[in-house]
Amino acid sequence: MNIANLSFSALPAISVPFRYFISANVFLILAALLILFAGEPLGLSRWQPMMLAVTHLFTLGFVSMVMMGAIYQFLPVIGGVGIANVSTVATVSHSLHTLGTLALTWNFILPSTLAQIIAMSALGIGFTGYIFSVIQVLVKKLSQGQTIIGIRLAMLSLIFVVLLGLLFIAQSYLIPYVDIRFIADKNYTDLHALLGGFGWAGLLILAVSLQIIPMFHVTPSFPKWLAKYLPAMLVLLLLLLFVFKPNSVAGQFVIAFVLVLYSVYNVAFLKLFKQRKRKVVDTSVSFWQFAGVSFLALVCLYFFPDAFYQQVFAGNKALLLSALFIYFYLVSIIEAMLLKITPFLTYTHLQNLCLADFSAMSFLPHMHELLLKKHGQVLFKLHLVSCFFLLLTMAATGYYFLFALALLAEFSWLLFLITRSLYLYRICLAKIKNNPL
Amino acid sequence: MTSIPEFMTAKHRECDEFFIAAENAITQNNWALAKDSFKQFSEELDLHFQAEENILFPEFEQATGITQGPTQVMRGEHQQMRALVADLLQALSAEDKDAYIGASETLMVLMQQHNMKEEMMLYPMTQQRVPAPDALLTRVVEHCQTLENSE
Repeated sequence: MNIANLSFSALPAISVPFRYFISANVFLILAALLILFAGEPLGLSRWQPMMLAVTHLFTLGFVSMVMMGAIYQFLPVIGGVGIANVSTVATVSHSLHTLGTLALTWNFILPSTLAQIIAMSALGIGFTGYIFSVIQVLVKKLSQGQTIIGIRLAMLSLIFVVLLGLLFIAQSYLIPYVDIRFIADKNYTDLHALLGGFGWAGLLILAVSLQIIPMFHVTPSFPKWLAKYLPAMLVLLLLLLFVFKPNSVAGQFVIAFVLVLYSVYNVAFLKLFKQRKRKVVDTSVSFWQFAGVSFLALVCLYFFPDAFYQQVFAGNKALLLSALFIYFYLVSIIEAMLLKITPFLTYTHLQNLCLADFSAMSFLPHMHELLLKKHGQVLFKLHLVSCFFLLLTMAATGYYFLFALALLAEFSWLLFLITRSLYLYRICLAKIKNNPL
Repeated sequence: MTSIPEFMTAKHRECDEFFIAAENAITQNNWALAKDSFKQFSEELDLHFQAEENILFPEFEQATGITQGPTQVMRGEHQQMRALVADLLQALSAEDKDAYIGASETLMVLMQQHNMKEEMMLYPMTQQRVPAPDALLTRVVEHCQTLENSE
């Protein structure tokens, strides 16, 4: 264990994670507006350009955006070392990520060479810079915990997801020079989605929750075997899909195995929350439980016969399951985490300033003042409403506008909660700075 | 024999148990039970801080030569947690449920992120770096048992 670079006070500036959280909400507000104006044809197929645009606003614009922002903050706490030149890395990679996501959305809706080039270069450079910076910390092996191992595997998955994504954008330019015709095979799109959903997002959630759930919710620990073997098994299975293509029979078995394995994790955390010792009402627990139950329902749906999808969801099995996974599962857990992280980060940054001036501790607001409990409860209710309308839209596309409005309301509210916390931070910061030592 | 990380982590969990018992009692408006549990919590916490500040951290600093790094941050956070414990005590005396729950959530978060840094980094490093970890653990265990012996 190397301690030369160890620094528990290496927190990045508060603007680093918050710019990611704020942008993430703006992207979903944009997605809501896009759905509202795109209208009914949106629900027809996962390959429809507008649907691809909306999907990437969720995955690139929201899910990845929040997770990347949180990693800046999480590494110094869990690994004892922060990212080098963090402000520069964050400014460059966040700006390029934002630009690239916007250009990709634009290219899906109105394909153009310019949009393609901007998307490819901005996402390519942005992700490369970010991944390179995070890997520099992860290879230091400061902590040997399962969480760090899980984050490493999640980053490995992200590398594959980004490479495949860049190849999809670049294929028309590269094919005359390099033989990458294989990329047109829809199996690679499924691989891109599965590695992104379970390898990058799913595994990162799993790895971080190994630490976060038992500590912050005061539950027993996850079973040791689960923490030790599940992350590696998941990644191995996902990589196996490069050999056994997702649409082949063997590939379908591998996917079913991934779903079952990930269900084991979901059952495990649902059980932990049942054993939670704290009796204080906590909306983030409701989000987690909702996500866990939704995932188990999703797995049951996966094994339903195709006739069911023909009758109820116009045969759109893959679209329905992807929507459920992204919105009912990933977005729910990210909201659970944001409800905890937002006041926590605000408080931690203020508290860090008070290490130099202990008397300023009296200015610090409590966690509940930074994010009011009733505000969190409103967010959960808004989420339940938008989930219901999403499901309704999947069954009867004419209701798309209700989902769009619910989405707009939910993420405008979350944006308000985050900016409110940041506003309270600024007020308190001014008090601390004016405090005579 | 157990190791320094194992023993200290178990002590963190013990503190959590008392802390949660007090908080749960307050959610049920059982102030007498809350005061009892809080007393146990604050005594355990104080003993734990002393074990770190007077025994564990000096040994770590001597073994690594790092005196202004992680241990300094940990000491600062101990001071902040002591201030929050004082706030909680005040809310407990005034039987002010909202003030208590607000401060307890804050202390919970501060305490857990502090514990995470110690459990994942500082304790394993101490175990690896000090010349006689078993002897050090014995001193820590003896210190932590003073409370049990005095009861």
